[in-house]
Amino acid sequence: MLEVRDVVAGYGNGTVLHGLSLSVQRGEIVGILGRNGMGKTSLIRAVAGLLRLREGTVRLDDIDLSRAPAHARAQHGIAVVPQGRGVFPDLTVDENLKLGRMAAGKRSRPGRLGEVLDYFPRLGERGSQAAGTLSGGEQQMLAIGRALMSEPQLLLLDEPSDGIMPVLVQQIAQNIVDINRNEGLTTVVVEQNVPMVRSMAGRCLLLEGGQVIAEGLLDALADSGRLEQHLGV
Amino acid sequence: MTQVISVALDAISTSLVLALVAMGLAVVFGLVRVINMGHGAMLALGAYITWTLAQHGLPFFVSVIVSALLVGVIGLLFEVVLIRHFYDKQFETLLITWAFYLVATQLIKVFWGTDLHSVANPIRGTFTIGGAVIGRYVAVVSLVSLLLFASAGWVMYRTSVGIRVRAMIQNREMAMMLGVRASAMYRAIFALGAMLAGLAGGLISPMFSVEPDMGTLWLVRSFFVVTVGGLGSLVGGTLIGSALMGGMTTLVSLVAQQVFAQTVVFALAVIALRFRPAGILGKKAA
Repeated sequence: MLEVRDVVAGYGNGTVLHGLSLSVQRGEIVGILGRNGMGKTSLIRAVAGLLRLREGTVRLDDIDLSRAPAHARAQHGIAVVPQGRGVFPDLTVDENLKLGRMAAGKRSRPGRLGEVLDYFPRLGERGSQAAGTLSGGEQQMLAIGRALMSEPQLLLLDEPSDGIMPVLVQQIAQNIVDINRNEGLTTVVVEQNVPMVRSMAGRCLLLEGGQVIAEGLLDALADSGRLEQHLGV
Repeated sequence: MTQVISVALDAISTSLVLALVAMGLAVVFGLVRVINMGHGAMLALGAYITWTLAQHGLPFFVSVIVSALLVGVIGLLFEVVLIRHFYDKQFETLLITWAFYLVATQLIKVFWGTDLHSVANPIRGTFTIGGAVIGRYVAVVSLVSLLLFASAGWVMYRTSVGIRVRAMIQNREMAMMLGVRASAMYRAIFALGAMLAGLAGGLISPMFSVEPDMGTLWLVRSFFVVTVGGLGSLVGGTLIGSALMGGMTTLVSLVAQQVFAQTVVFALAVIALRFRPAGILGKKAA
């Protein structure tokens, strides 16, 4: 479904992604692990269209999106929940969700809001509240809910546990699993929180120096000693 | 009592005319973060085109609308050719728009000369409120200003376009990842700002002399309105800024000459900005 091939990208004169390749099958939850500065967020930005590719290709369902701008990738069904959540603080919860629905365009379905609120009932109680006044966990729910409103083909999550109370981390992980199970939504999760990844992802990729250096089930990576070697866990 | 009402009406109309003139600058600065130093020249172009069309027999209000559209097109071309390459580079856009101001002002002198022109008042006469006299045309321009701000508020807070625009102001990258075409939106907003400047220039042309440098003072006044009101606060900030600047100018004018009053108000605005750099309704940059 998602094919990233030989991607080279970076900022200014620096290169962060050094010929990175990966593929994600429809309906999978894939975990991306790696230490800070190894290219995890840059990978998300490159797939989302915020980081220009110097070399390589990004294809979604055999459509080449390598040169497509971010807004066009959103219209093709790539939804992103960025690190820090990216909610619009001065917009209400309802307005944030409406933006997601606008991104869906023709894919938008009338009953979608109800489905999203079933996953995150708290958002329904906070509809007219400014997003900036929500707690970190609620903002994360809003960011995921907004992404779901766009009826995505592919959901990219960057550090969903970042800044969230530990008690809520597992709840959000369960939400992501439920969404994947109910809707078959292909999901890529960049995360350093290994227990959270273990509770969500099937296959995991280990990033080092802007390249994928290992791939497999999390327990297999742990057993081989590569997690300890590269993540220190 | 009549004098109090008269001063109040004068302050209100002065403030609303000022708000009308500042609106284009507020739109461009508030929404795309470009300080458009060319705003004054766009205003002067609006006044000159209105004067020219009216001279050729076109009804005044049709002339104003045509001039606003033409200045909007000029703004659009300016954005496409130059500005779009320099978003996020505030100093560069400051210099480029200032260059636009200088070039446009010189071109006005080349095409229309340096003589003063006057546009006939299209709605003559006065009416009284509580014994105070107010010009009909000034009242109409004030009403247009109010309607424009009400429309802007409605668009920003009641429509999907407004949600997209507000989202883009708060987090452009996230808005793009939600399908917002930032480049097209920036282009439309810049052209809209230019069109509003042209509209203001056309509408104030019967109230003030039309001359090549007329944009300079209006640019300075608009700049103070936008900064005192609050950077990025399109409706509330601009209205509060213009009310303070216009109202204070009217009040100080009661005891001093207009030029002195303007100087005092500018000085007070500078002092106010010293203590509140983001303006009254503005938020500190993150």
